[in-house]
Amino acid sequence: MQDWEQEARGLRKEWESPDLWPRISEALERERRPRSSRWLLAVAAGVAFVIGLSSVWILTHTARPRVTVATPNLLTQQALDDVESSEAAYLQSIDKLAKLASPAVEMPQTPLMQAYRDKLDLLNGAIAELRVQAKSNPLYAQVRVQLAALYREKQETLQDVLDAQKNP
Amino acid sequence: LNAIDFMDEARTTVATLAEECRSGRLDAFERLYRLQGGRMKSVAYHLLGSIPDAEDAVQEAFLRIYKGAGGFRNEAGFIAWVYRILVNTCHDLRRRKQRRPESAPEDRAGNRENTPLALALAQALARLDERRRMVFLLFEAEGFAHTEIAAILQITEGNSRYLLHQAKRELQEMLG
Repeated sequence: MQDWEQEARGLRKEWESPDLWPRISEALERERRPRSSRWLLAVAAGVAFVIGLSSVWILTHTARPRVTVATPNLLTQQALDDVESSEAAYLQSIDKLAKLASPAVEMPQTPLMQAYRDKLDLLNGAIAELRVQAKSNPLYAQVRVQLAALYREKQETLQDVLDAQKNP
Repeated sequence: LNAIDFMDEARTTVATLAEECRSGRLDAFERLYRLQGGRMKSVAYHLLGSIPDAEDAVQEAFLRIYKGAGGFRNEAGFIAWVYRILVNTCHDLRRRKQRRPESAPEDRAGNRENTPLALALAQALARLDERRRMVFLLFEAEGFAHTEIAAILQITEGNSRYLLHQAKRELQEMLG
């Protein structure tokens, strides 16, 4: 063996780096933290949403008979026209957002996207139910208000999906 | 322990470590650092030519390993995968900094004397084609086997042997 070959065996560099592991550990912790806080956020949003949805359901299913018998909160024809035009605008915006978000939502690649997809499924179910009620009693204001709230929630959720896609 | 028991135990350790890293356990990453950190720093140093850059590369590589470990399935190739990530990280860092390694990496580690032969070798190595230099250093200085070098540099084992042979021939011409 040549001298330089012998020398090459000793080319490994060794030095003390007492602060390197703490730096790495801190970076890994930072990487972990946002993940868990994202999860907590998604779970908290889910819980809040389910509670909200239950309240809507309780309100519509328990309050309706009393309201129709007593003093129903009815819309005038003019107010109904306004509400319907505002709903149409929401639906148009939702359609646009839904088209953009659909690849991510239909094939969710992350737990966060899966959570959004579950939330959107819940929202779609609730919207469908309220639309049936609104159709059978178009002038009943409470249903319209709840429907508008659900449209808004869906619009915001779709927007969140698009934001999450942009900033994964 | 005889040699076979030792190898079996080493394989089990690596497989366990890979599994624990995959589940995102920080203590597993700390063990990986204790086991491989020194060699990782040295490999990064050979690629980047400075201690601070080498340490930055090791830190960033660990972050990439942490992010990618969940999807890693081949426990047997875990260590080679770790070094592949490190080598890629070094290339990325170098591209980002738009800086080539100096002709003879500065020896601030201070663990070897700068003998005339050591200096001549460092200069000769700097004149080698990068792939030949990397294979030479991974084999001779870091003690990797050709199978591991092939996995780290994503070349064939035969190519690794050939590049080492070429590197030695050129060094022989320059130094012999």
